Amino acid sequence: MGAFHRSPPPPVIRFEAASKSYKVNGALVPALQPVDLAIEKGEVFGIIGHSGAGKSTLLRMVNLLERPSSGKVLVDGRDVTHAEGADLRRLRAGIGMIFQHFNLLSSRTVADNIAFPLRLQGGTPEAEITARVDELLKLVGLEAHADKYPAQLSGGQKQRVGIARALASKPGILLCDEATSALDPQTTASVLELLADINRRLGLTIVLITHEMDVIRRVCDRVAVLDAGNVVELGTVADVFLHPQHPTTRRFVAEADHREGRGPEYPGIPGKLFRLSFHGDATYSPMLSRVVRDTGVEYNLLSGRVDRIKDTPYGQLTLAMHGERLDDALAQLRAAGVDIEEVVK
Amino acid sequence: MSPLHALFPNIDWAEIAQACLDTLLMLGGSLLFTLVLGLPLGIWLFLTGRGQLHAKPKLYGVLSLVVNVLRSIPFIILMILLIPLTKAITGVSIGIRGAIVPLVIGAAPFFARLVETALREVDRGVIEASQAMGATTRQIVTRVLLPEARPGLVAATTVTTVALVGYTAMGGIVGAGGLGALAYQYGYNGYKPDYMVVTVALLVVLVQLLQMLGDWLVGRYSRK
Repeated sequence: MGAFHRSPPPPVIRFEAASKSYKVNGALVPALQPVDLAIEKGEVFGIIGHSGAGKSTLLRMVNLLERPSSGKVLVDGRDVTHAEGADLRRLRAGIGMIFQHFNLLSSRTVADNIAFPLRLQGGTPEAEITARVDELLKLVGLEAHADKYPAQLSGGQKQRVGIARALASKPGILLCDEATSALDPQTTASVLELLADINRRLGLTIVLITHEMDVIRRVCDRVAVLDAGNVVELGTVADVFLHPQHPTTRRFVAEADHREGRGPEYPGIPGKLFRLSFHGDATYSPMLSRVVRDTGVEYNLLSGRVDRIKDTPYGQLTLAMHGERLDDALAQLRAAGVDIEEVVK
Repeated sequence: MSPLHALFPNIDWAEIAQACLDTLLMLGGSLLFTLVLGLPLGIWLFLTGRGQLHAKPKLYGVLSLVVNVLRSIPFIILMILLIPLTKAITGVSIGIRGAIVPLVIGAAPFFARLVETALREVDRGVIEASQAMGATTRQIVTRVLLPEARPGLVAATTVTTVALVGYTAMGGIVGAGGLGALAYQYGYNGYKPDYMVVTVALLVVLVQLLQMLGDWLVGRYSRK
């Protein structure tokens, strides 16, 4: 290999046909069908699925809390599937993990919880540990709570301690197991903001699992949708969110839009129905009004949402449109980068 | 004549004091060995249990059976059965030293079971989190399980100590000395009811103090 054939860096995490089955009363029950997946350095990768879809198993294969029944797991290009003993502990020390129920040591103070992984792994002088703990307390905004016990903290504060603890040994990967599922919406938002901030500032690769599309929308770059142990959809969050293909994905997106239970039926509305998706700069440009003016088509706005996918604005509008130059109007919108799908009435 | 003497005419208070001391010595000695043997046994039971860190169903089955057998033999029978072993270990089969062997063998399995139960109360998620941080089994036991289960372990120690008070009193019947022996010899056989009242009252006070101490320690260590 010479300078002309430099291969791209290996993905931070790679699953090669990794599967998992459990023995239940002597019978083998598959939890996860063989999965092939590559997670790149520095990205926030989301895995969404209902409970029992296998997302927790998939996440735990990264640090081998679950061993694959077949296939391989590679971390930083190295096959770790069969890592044992000191090798396994070293791997785990390089991967932080946070949990839905925080899993803090109730008998230790916030500072001691954060220092815990460093003390377990040994080799860090106590003075250095203290400095590192101070730095982490500041990062997660808990300077005033160092000497409290977990029971004295709110859910959001506990998760911040969890995050600080997970970052103590400067891992390259952070695994988030339903990290915001036990938190109220406001706290969820602040914890997600913290995760996004950590990802930007430390260049940490984050893998998170959730059952809420909103969590994916706010922080993830890419997403895999798991259904009954299979990856049924994989792509950038914008693609998956704006153009969900699989029924499970559609349901998740509908939930995030608070449209669950309402069918896309608009009886008695004249014209054809279209769903227009804007992403990026197009979202805020006045192209719809321009096209409507130019072509003389008329429209009814039936539903719509303008928000952000991670840092990029997007909009999705459902319109009923009619007029002689309808095709012309659609062509102009498409040319301006708007994605258009016709909705069956 | 002191009012104490008027109330309890038969009692030799020096003998009561000696019996108290004997009971406390038996209690202290047997508690020490019960903790030393029962704690590791309880940890072992926990670790080898189904779905735990080192699940070994067959080993767990054997350990569990031994514990159950020892716990199901009435203590008074156990003392008699263990006479040969007691002699082999301590050289005597009666007295304070002689009582300690059956006391420990009676109480350690009981304590081990309580330890196992207390450890099971530790949040599995916390154990998983420590595994995810790369903790060894030894580290999980010493730095996670034992500290997290401390209130439960203190409560288990309290219950075991109180049970031992009862056992030491029974030990009195077969010549181990202590308050139980006084109650039996003078109070029951010698028909001196004031001995019965005083010894029982002292045992009640002892148990009450132990329980209060245990509860205070549990409160002190509870962080939930």
